[in-house]
Amino acid sequence: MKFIRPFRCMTAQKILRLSFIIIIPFALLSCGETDTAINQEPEKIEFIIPSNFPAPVYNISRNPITTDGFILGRTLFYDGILSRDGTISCGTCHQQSAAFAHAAHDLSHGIDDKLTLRNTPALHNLAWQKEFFWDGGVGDLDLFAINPIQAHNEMDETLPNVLNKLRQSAKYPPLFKKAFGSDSITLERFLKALSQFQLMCISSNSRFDKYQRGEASLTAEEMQGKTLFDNKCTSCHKGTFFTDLSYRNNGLTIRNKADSGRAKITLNSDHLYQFKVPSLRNITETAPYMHDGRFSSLEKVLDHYDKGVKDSPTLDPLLRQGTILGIPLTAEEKRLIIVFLATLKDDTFLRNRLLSQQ
Amino acid sequence: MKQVFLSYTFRALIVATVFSFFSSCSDDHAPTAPDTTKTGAIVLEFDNVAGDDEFTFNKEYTNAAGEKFTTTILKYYISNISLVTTSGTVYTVPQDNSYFLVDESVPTSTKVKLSNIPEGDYKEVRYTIGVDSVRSTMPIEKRQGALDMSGQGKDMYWDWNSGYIFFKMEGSSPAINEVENNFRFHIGGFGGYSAQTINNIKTVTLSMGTTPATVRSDIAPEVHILADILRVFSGNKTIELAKNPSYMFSRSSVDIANNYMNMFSFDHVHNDAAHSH
Repeated sequence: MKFIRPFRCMTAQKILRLSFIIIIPFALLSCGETDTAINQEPEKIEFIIPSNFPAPVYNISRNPITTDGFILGRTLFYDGILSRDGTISCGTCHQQSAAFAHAAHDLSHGIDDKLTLRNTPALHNLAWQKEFFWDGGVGDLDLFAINPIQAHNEMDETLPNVLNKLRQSAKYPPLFKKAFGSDSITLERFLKALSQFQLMCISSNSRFDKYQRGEASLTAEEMQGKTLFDNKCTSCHKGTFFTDLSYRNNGLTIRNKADSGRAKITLNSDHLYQFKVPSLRNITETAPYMHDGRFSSLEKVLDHYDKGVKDSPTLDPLLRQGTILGIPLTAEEKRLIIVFLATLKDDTFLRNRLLSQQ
Repeated sequence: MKQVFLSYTFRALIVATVFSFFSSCSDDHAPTAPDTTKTGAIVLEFDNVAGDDEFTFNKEYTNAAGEKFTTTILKYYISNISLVTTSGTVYTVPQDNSYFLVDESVPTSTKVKLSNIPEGDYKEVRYTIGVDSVRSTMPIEKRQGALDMSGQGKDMYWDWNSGYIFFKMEGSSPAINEVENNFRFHIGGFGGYSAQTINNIKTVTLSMGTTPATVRSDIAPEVHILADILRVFSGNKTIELAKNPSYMFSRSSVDIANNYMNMFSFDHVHNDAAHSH
């Protein structure tokens, strides 16, 4: 299969400047390639930095992405073997069509239909994330998957059991051998393979990306929405990923006192009810919204910022301008902002067969 | 610990026998001067005790608050070990090989054997209770042996905040007025990745008194360290299980850590020959 480099504007110099291997991720779907191309396994899976992205946080040289490592990671991601009774895989709650969030679920349910505490976050561009979970409790992508595997209301399995099940399976020892050179199944290899798949979940071909790279233009309404967004939202939802990666209390009423957010990690009362500012990429596909999925639509989210913000000692100062709480928005402004947010939808990513369960 | 206790008695008999045969050698001759180009081994034995008694699971003891309790789980990390010679030279065990989980339920784990130690007369041992902050943020490939979360470290890791549990003790007490009268101490906290939080990393320095541990290529001293678990409940702050039976990732966990940091004491060192242990 002929592989197509998605980022034509990347110059040779730019490639050389990057300190690690330049790798090529996706068969392009959006430009009308034939289905035969996307149904085949790639000759080579590679990690490439989109030209409008900064350098990643994840140190790829520690875990070089290979085609076989990626395939192993993808197989694990979609395999219920990671859960106690075989029913729950990563892909159960992280659904590609919802940008790897959990469509139509405020709180996700794991094993035995047990409810979780929070809304499933979307997974994309994880190589550029420095901390994981709504509270940022884990600072290394490789260590992230341990929590959902062991959580009693998610997969409820132990690491020794998972590894033993993989060792005893017919399927996995050869996959590990292909990926890592021997069929030894260790925690390090297991987690690194999962990371390889997750690192390849790169969303960089939205209309907004193409606008940023000078490959496409936005409509007049989208540009109006962008201007409003830039004026009212980018203090927190900033940059290429539409997040400053900080933790903030955005004035939601407290529905579950037990979920203290960032304070759970820092034990600092100044951080009570702070949650990570999420990326807005593919935001039209990841409803419902907020850490507990309380808002079913983007309209409701903007209504919250307009009129719903509740004061509290840890309310983010940006949401308190004198006596005014929140971000006043007219109905037309909200409409235009949502028009702009729709340009962050990346069909290439949402429908990339390489990232799907095979 | 009864087994260990018996083995001590047995060992003492052997040593006494050896002494009776070779008393002139043992008593009058100091070991040869250390040759620092050679290496030997040393064993740190962590002997859990309860005051003057041997410690054993499910046996009832009384804490400083007068509460009776029994224990079912006791394990803690010992790491970043260094040894100091009588002349003040510090030997630090290479970091990758310096993490040990002492687990009362695994008899072999209470003897921490260190190899490739330069010959020397060591008078002091230093170590960390827990896992240092640098290692606590290291990537997965640097978490081997005692730190492997799928192996020895499987019950000693908080996956939601990437932190090791430094010290774990569980049991029950009739003083706890709840349906289940269990107590749980899961103490950790390395200071935080990007935002500061509790730091329960504690370091211990133990002097071996007047008899140094004489590491030689043919002598592997055994340093006998007592860990008095009653000290977990008192010292810095008296712990009343009736008031709070659960100390995990919380500000109050600092009280437990500040207590147990003083639970270790040097008891004695075996330098003599019969080092079959």
